[in-house]
Amino acid sequence: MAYRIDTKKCLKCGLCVTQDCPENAFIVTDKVKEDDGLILYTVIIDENKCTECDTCFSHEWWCPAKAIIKGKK
Amino acid sequence: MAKKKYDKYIYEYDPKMFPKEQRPVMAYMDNNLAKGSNFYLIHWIMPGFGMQPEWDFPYAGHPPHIHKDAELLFHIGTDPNNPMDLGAEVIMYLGPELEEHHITRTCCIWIPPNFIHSPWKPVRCDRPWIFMEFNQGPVHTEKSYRQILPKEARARMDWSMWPDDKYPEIMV
Repeated sequence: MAYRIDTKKCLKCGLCVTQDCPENAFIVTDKVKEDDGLILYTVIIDENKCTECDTCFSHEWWCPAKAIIKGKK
Repeated sequence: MAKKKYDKYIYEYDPKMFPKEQRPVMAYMDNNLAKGSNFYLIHWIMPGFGMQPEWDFPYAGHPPHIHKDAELLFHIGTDPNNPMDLGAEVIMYLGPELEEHHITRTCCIWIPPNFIHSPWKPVRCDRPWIFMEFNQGPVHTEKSYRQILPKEARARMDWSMWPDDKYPEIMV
């Protein structure tokens, strides 16, 4: 059962990258600075790194937007 | 008066610590002041606070953000004959959905770690009341989530007033 980021829910805050994923599977693929200085990050879960340990998904507040989902695309 | 052995454990807020602070702070503590202490901030909310003209638009106020640690936001009324009446009204939005709440009673709002909360804005104040911010971590932290605000509200805020605090820039 793969994990991925729901792009409709994701707020592009990048917080998931700074959390302690044991495999560092959260990867920033794009970074945009908005006019007011806010930086938005596009993040994916690298399926070659993710071991499906469930750490991110089972942590209630890993993602403030609850954008990490379980299941195939 | 002679110094006593445990004088060091009694802290009085020193306004010189934060020269830019405009709120009437009564007490402040964190791990930098006292090793082992969590972050605490207690201040009065006086009539008019939060109701300045530059905050007169929808979703104004302390903008959406998170903290690394859980936070407790105590709203304490000061009428001894009716202590559960806040004597004020605060609009508080909770979650990424911006769920709107109107706080008019003495209460504590529990904010889990990384839970998006605010805008927070007093909209009525019949008498001074006390606001207490307790964080279950050693120092203040904050990360902005202004991307959830409507564009109009986002464009009207002065974001230099709301920098991220102790969140590193993410390297690509």
